[in-house]
Amino acid sequence: MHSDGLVAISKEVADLDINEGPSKLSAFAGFEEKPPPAPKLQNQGTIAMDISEQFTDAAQKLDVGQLIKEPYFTLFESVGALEVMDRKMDSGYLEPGETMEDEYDFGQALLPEEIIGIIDQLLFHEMAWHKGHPLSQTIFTSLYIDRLLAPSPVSLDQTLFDRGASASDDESMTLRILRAYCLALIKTCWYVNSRVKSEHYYEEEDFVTHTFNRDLVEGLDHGAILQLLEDTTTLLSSSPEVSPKLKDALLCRLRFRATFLRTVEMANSRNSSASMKALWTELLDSLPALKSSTKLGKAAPTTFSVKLQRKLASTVPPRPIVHISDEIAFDHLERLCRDGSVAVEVLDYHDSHSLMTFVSLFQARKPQPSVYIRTLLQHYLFGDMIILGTMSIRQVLDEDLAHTVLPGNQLLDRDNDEIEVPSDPRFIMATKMEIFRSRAANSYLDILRTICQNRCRIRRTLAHTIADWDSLQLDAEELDVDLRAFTKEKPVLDESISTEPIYSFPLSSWAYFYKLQQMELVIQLGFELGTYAPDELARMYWYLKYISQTRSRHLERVKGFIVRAQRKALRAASVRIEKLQQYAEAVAFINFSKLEAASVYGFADALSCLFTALGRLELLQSSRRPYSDDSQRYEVRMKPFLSIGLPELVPFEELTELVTQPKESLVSILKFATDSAVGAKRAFEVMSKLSTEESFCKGSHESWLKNIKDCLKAVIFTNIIISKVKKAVEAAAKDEIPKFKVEIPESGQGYHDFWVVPKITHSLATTST
Amino acid sequence: MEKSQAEDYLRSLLNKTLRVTTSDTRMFLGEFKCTDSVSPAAQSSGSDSTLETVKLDMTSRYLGLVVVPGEYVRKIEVEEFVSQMRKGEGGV
Repeated sequence: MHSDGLVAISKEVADLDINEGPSKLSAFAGFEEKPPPAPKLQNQGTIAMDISEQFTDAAQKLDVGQLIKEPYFTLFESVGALEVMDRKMDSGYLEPGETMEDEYDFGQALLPEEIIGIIDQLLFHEMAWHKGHPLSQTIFTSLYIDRLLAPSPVSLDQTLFDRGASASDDESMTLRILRAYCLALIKTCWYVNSRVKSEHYYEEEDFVTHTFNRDLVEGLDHGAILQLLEDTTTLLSSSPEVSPKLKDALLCRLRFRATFLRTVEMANSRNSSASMKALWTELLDSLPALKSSTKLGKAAPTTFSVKLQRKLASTVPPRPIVHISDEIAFDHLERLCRDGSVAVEVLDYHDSHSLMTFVSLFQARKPQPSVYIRTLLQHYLFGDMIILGTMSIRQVLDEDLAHTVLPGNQLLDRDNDEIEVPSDPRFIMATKMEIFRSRAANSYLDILRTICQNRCRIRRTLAHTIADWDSLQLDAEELDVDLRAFTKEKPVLDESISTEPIYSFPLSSWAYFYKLQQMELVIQLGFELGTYAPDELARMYWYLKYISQTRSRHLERVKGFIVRAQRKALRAASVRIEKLQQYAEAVAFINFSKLEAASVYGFADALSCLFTALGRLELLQSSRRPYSDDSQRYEVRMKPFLSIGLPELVPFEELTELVTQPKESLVSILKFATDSAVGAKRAFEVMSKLSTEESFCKGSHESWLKNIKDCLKAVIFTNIIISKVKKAVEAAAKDEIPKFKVEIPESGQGYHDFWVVPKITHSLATTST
Repeated sequence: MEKSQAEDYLRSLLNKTLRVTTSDTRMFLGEFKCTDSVSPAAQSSGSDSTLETVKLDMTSRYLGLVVVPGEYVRKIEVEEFVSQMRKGEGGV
């Protein structure tokens, strides 16, 4: 029965598309809708009859194990049933003496210290929610928050905590502060939740957006809540009741909340990065005061209760309240502000390559920006299908094509759109290009969208998108051939390369370039995420080298055509300056990308050789894996690349030969490693001196430079390791295996996540032998 | 009651709306889907797709499929339509 289900599920999972929007496969999904109304126990048309005895008698007659069941009631359904009176499943189960609800007097006066304690606890809960815990175990465990949410208020008058008959008209100062703070906090959560929900994220993996059928004060106006906060602030500052120290602490909390609320509200607009940045910075600046006054607070654990979860739309019994420490909470909040202020910089658009660099470097920040910031970035990038709030997808795509493969080309001429004669080649060019754009736009944006996911998902999703780019490349190839008839492209005839005429294939070249880049990223993320076993490292670095070398060669080919066209344009007198600029920029980009590819393949080659050498010395430990061999494991590892047409997957035997280099001596392999490392080091050094324009990282030069410097450190360290190993090998030549230990650093512990540099210990013992 | 009669009786209850009251005074209301033989504790176990109703304050919520172990069952009621009941068998 289940085998069918499993196939269906695995197919469903495999078909998951990043375009599908937020996944709604949450376990809570069934509770998102309003629950059905309560059944009526008294009904004119029906009558209830007690059948306890008949039922029991009849059931007793059944054999042990015999079932009386409805024909469509399956085993599958029955295992999903909740067992009543089982404390782990039954949310209505009460321990002896336990009450269903808390007896809490909302009219009781609270000390200012307690208010600080509650407010801070709520802030920690909010951060725990940002970090991925559900609302039910965090903010919703507060009795005061619950009071505000159920029943859902439609005006501020309905939000008073004390609603009993004996409630006094005058709300005490402390309760007023708490009410204003809580309302603003819930509204802040509403903004954050709606933002996350409307972008691509992974429910319960990244974040839990489920609100358990509570509506997070949707009925209350944003302005009214802010006003309440402000009025309360004024009231408090002129109040003589509270001691100055506590007053300051309370005031800074109210102000912080007002700023936070304004920030998340403003964050949705994409108009001005400067004012957004100012808000995030203001928020960040208000944190030290919060932090230092936390100790003034007095914890009020009685105002939080696990039992509240029973009132939420959920079938699970109450789970423990999540507690995170204040350091973790403040740390998260601080990073949120910092990342938020950097994320808005994406709105200052420079060029398509810089945009790509910005997004990938931003997502590579350690630790990765939180889900809210990542979804904000997605909103800035693609909200309403308008790129960065100002540009059409076509604009970005055309610019990228012009700066990579088609500078100054007639295919991208906007005037072609004006032609209405169907037989005119320009008309056909415009139509064909539109076909290409509609095919490529999504794939192009998917790269950006994918990079906005969590690190593991990036790798997983890229493994799928490269297949998409592979087919895009094939489609583009056809279009390239079709377009040739209209562009009148003259092929290059070069006997030294080929007897056939050589055409430029610009569109498919573009697709190939991006495909290769993504393939490299898939492998590199494997290193970052610690996916590969130590004995795989040599092979994977070799593969990285292979792909980046292919990219470099491909770029060389593209450059050849561009330079040829550029020379032609320079000779022609009538060419516009802009076009010439495009040529220059495309050449600059290709040169840069080639340099970058050179650094990658040099470094990858060095590490591949080093790991090969260490493997030969039997210094790489690997766990016993009796149920598979290397070639099977290789097949599974390379599964994403298996379907790629170009470059073809290198067969295992051939690869092993290339990686292990059995004909070379240990010393010469280590010499190759040194040569490559020196080459890579030079490339990184050159890169580190490039200007912002030359390195295509406008808007993110600082983090780009840091990235390059980390790579540089890694390559220098690799060089040292290689020479250490070499020395040890040479010294131990007459004996046997040199005695030292190799340590592979955990991911995140090295100089750069993409480059796993082994550590060598006890090398001194070797030289003494 | 013979065994076959007992089976027929229980089968006749399938898909009818039952109200099962448990020892902690909650009432579960829903369609009857399945039951098994009696446990040594001498109560049957009913497995109901139910709406849970807490008697005390009459708040209710939707639960989905639940199984009520026989030992906690205090009362079982069946809902019948008045219009479909034969004269003389209970009734208004």
